[in-house]
Amino acid sequence: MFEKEEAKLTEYRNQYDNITISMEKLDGAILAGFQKAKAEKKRKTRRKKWSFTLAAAAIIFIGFFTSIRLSPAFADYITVLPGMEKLVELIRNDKGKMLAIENDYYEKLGVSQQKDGMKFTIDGVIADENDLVVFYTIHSKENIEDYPIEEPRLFGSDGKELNFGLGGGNGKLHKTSGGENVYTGNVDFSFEKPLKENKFKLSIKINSDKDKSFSLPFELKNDIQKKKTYILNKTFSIEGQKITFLETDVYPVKVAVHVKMDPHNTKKLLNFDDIRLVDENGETWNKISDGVTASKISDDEAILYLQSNYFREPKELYLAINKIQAVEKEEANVIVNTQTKQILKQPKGDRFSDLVVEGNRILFKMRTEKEFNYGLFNTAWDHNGNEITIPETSMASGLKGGKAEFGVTIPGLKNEMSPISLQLEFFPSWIEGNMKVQIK
Amino acid sequence: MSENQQLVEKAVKGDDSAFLKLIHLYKIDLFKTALSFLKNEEEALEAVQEVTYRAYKNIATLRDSSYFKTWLIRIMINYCNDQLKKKKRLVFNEEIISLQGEHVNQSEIELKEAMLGLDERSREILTLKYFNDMKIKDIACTMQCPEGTVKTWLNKALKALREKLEGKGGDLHV
Repeated sequence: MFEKEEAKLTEYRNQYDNITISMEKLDGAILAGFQKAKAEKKRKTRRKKWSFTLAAAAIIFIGFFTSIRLSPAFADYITVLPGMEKLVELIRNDKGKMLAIENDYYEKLGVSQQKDGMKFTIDGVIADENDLVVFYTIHSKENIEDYPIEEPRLFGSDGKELNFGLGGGNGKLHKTSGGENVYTGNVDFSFEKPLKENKFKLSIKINSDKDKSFSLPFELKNDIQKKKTYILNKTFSIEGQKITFLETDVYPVKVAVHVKMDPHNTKKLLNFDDIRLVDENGETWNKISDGVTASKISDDEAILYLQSNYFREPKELYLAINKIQAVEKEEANVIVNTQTKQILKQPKGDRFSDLVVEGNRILFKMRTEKEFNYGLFNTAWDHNGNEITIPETSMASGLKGGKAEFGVTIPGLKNEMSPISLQLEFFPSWIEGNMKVQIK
Repeated sequence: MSENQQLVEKAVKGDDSAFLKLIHLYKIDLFKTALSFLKNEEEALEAVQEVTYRAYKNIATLRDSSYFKTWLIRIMINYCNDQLKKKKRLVFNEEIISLQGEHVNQSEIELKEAMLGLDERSREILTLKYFNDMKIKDIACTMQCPEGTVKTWLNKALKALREKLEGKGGDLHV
């Protein structure tokens, strides 16, 4: 019927078979496209998804580089438990949660709700007095974006909303052979006061092409294990900066270490990089590697969170610290003028440079010896002294010419807001020492 | 599972070298498809770069590893259609003919002109079927529609092409 046209089309194609192509140029184009995609993938944005209701500010660290690995044998043991593989993938970097599962402290629920071709299931929880880690699965025919859940809210049996400190979370998208999208994730709720309830209702929104809300009741039947408290009240000094350890609470989900800094310290202590628990055999439990790593009560008081060894009964237990990020108190901010693109003030050493403004974002480079995977800032002040909460910070991974690229989002950024003072939450400058406190 | 399919599955899981192998496997098809839509080699190379980028970003959305090639070519066709729309030029003037120089003969120009005068779907179908030797079944799968529909579209496209070639499609230099 269309033989003539078909013949012409074939001839047309054959003519293209004879064209000369520069393979070099073609390969160059492929490489350029690939590198562009790679570079973008590397620019990771860490977003504080949910606002927190506590007065205390919380420090969130989203771990990109999984430094903590369990012994392969243990990981294997966990992985063979039926239905637990995906869950274990999510918490592989948290020894405490892994131990909770190994000790049957995970409570299986399997409550689900279906809506418009999407199914949301609460698979189970790990709960203690102060924390509720909810594991969930979303099944959907539609595409689901990475980290799809928004506005998780928790209600008690009386219908009253429970205030949680801060929800962290993690997740991973899988695809079934049938083309269905399956997202497994967890949400961590931390509570200010011990939980008295065992009946809850979880409501969440799923960010997809259409926003969908789910609301599911669930009930915990297993007993909640009580925390173990060790009172310390010991003061130590690292490079002249005094730190007092008040007490340590060991919960199944995490360990909370209450510290107070001497107000007369000359430096502001920003982040306890390597605080860890060590038992008599030298086994260590590091800081929470992904999620909320600390709550700041004030500039001089904080709760630091570590992975839990609750399910072990060590004969001796120590808290050890070697390195703390610290900066002179009067140098603990960076002041920028976004109109003139100038950095007006920064800590000694002029690490910051190359200020660029892109819409609501301030981008700059920071000279650093090693990769520095922290979000740098949480809070800013405009020139009228209005406090601005920074909702999003970003960084490009890898160093270019010894410099790392950082970005800070200032909602409604305008020239009139300048100069803007950004308060350093992290900074590559440390005090070092050898501190070891026996807690048991 | 074929070797290619294994590569595709690896690439979907984030294996960069598998992804690059696949792109290199189909780079000539990509380049030729681009050249058939666009003005010159330079634009076609730019298209290959952009399609590599888009494919890498979206590989997780690939539904079935056996249709990787069709999926990839379709990204190219979409890109080219966007370019054509963007530049609002239905090609073919003396300048282009001289640019393509000796490779071009009259019937090729006629056909390219006719193709570019078609609607996007017809152009896509004909490019997939005749230019890239895709099977109706593959096209139906990547476009997520029944084979019968693809056949109907193909017939319409051929009919439209005939009209263009016979000069019934109105002014080609729209």
